[in-house]
Amino acid sequence: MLGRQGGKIALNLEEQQELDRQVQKYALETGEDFEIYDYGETYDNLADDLEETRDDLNDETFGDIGAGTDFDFASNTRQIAPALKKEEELYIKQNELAGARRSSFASLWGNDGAGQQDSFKNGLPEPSHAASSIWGSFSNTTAKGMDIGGGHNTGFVHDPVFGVGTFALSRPGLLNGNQPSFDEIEAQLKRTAGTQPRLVMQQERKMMSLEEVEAALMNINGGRPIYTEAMIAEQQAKQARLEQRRAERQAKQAELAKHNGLMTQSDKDFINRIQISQLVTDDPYADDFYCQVYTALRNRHLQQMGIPGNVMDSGAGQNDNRRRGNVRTEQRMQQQVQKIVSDARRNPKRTNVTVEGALGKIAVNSVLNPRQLLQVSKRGSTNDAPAGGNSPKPPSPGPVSTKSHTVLGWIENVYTYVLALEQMRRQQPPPPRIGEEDLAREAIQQWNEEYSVLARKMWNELRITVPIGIVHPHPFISILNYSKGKKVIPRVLRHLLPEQTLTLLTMLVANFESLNVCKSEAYGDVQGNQEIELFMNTIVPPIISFVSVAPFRIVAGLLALFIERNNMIWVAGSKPGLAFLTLFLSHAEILKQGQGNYPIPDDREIQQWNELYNRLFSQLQTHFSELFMPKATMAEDIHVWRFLAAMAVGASVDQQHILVTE
Amino acid sequence: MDDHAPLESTGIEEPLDLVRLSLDERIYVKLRGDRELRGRLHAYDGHLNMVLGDVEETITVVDVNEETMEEVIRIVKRNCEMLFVRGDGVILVSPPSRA
Repeated sequence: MLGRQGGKIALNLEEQQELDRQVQKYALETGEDFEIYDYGETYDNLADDLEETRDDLNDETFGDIGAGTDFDFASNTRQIAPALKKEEELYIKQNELAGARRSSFASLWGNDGAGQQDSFKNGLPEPSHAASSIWGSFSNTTAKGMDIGGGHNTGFVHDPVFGVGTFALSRPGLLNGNQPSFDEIEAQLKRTAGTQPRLVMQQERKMMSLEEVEAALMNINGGRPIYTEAMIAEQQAKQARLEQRRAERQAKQAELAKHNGLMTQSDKDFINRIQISQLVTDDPYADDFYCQVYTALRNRHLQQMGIPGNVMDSGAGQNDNRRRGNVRTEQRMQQQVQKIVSDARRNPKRTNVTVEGALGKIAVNSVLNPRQLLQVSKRGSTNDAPAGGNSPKPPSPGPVSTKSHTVLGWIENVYTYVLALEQMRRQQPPPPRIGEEDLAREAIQQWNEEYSVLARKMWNELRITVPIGIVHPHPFISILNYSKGKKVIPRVLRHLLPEQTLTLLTMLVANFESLNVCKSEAYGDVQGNQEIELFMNTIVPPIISFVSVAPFRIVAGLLALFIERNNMIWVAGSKPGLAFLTLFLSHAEILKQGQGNYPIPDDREIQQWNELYNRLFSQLQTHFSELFMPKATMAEDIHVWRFLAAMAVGASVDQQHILVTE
Repeated sequence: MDDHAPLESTGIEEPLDLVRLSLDERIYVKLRGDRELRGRLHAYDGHLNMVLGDVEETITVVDVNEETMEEVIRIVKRNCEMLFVRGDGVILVSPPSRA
C-alpha cells in the first residue's frame, strides 16, 4: 500500500512499481488525487497482534467447500475491463457527433433555469415523459448488458479501495452497448420536443410581457377591459390556486383520518367509563355546585323568555353539523353516567383499601380526595369541634365588641349553618311507604334531630335574642347592615319556626331606626340606594307574607312597638320605614273588615287600634309633605302615595282633611 | 330560651378564614408586577385564586428616560366586570383603605 513504507510487509521493487502504476491509472480515471493520502507513521501496528495462527482445523470447522467466487467482484471487473474500455471510447465518439443534441438534453435537465417553469406550463408535459421513458427502457437494457462474462454484476462495481466511484463510468459504456435503442430514443425526443421547448418557452415569455403591457394599457385607458390572453391567464391561475387549495384540504383530511378506526366503539366506551367514573358523585349539589346552579338559573331564564323546546338537557347547540354528532355521543354518555352512578351507589368507594396479605391500608386518591402534600395540625384540635375547619368555635365569653370582623364572622357562621341545613333538606329521607313506617321512623327521627340541632345553632348565631341595650347597635341589626346579612335572611327564614320568625320581626321592629337603610341621607349615594333596594327585595317580601297571615293582635302589637321605639318622623322618611308602615296599616284594615281568616276583632281591640292610629297621625302631622323627596321621580313617589292611601283608609274626616291640605 | 351565642365568639381559626369574612365585600388586592386590584370578592380558594367583580386594576409603570436617566412614574388603570385572578400572583388581600 502506498505509504506503508515502515510496515512489516515488504514489497520488492517490481511489485512496488506495478502497484504504483496501477494506482496512478486509477487516479487518472477517477480524478482523485491519491498523493495526499499520506499515512506517514500513523500505522499503529495493532494488526500485528492479531492471531493468524492455528488455522489448521478451519476446514473441519467450516467445511472445505470453499467460498466460491460469487463475491469476488473485483476480479470479475478486471476480466471485462478491456471490453469496458472499448465501449467507453465508442461512447465518447458518439457524444462528439451528437453535439447539437446535447443542448436538448441539457434543457431537459433544466440547466438554463427555464426548464423548471416549462414543465408547469401547458406546452411541455411531454418532454419530461419522454425523459422518464428513456430511463425506463434503459434500465431494461442494463440488465441485459451486464450479463457479460461469468457471474453477474448487480450494476455495482465494488472495489475495496475506490468503492462505488467507478459506477458512473461503467454506465455510459453500457449505453453504447445498445446503440440502436439509444438512437431511437434520441429520435423520439426530437420528434416530440426537439427545439419546441425553447420556442414555446419564448412564446410564453412574450405572453407574460404582453400581459404586463396590457395591464399598463388598461391603467392608462381607465380600465377598459381587454379580453385577451391576460384574462384567460388570470382565470387559469385562479383555477389552479383553487385546485391547489382543494388538494391541500383533502391532503389534510387524509392526514387526520389516516388513523381512524384504530379503536372499536367498545374500546372508546370503556375508556369513557373509566374517566367518567372518577367524576361521578352522589351529591351533585355539594360537589358540583356551580355547574348545577348555573344550569338551573339558565333554564329558568330561558323558560321565562320563551320555551326553546326541552330546556332540560340540551345545550345551546353550536351548529347543526356538529350538533347531530354531539347529540348521539351525549346520549351515550348519559347512559353510561347513569350506569356508573347506580353502580357507585351500590358499592360505595372507599378512600383506603386493604389488600389481603398486605400490611396496612392504601389510600385511594381521586379528584375529591387528593393526596395531601403537607401535614399541618390545627391548633384547637379536632376533638370537640366537628371536622371541617370552618365550623364555629365554641363560644368564650369576653368583652363585647361589634368590630366589623366579629360581625362578619357571625354572618359567615350563619351561612355555614344555612348551607348545612339546605344540604340536609336535599337529603331528607323519603316519607315512608305504608307498612314500613316502623323501619323508616328511626331514620326520619334521626334526621329530624340533626336538623333541629343545626337550626338551633343557626338561630343562636343570629344573635337575635341578645337583650337590647347592651350594645348599640344591636348585633342583629349589625348583621342586617351588611348586604351579606340581608341576603341570607330569606334563606334563614325557611328553616325557622314561626315563633322564631316572630321574634325576629319583633327585634327588627324594635330597633328599626338603627338600620343603615333607614337613614334618610342614604338616598343620596349610589351604594346606599343599592342597600335600600336590597333590603326591599330580600327582607320585606318574606315579612309581608308573614304578616299577612298574622292575627290582629300581633299586627297591632307590632305597630305599637314600632311607634314606641322609633322616631316616626325619621323612620317615615325612609323607604323601608314607609314600607313597614304601609304593611301594618293595610293589613290591619283588611283584618278589621273581616276579610282575613280571622274573626273580626272585638271592640276593645279596635279601640286600641284607633288610639294607636291617632298617635301615629299626630306624630306625622305637618311632616307629611316632607315625605316627598326633592328630586324624587314618579317611581319613588309611589311608595309615599301608597302609604298615604293606607293612612287615608283609616282616617277620620278631620284627619283626611289634614292629609289633603298638606 | 337557649343561650344565645356569646357576643365575642367567632369562627376564625386560620388566616384564610379572614379572607372568608371578606366574601361579597369590596377588597383591595396587591399583586406582583406592581399591580393592584379593587373589587368585590365573589370566590376564593386555598391557593388564593380569586373571582372578583366590578374590578379596577391599577398598574404602576416606571419609565426610565435613556438619556437623562430620570424615572417617570405612570399609572395605567383598567376596568373589568368579572375577573379571575391566579393565586400565585397575589401578595396581599385587605379591606379597601378608608381613603
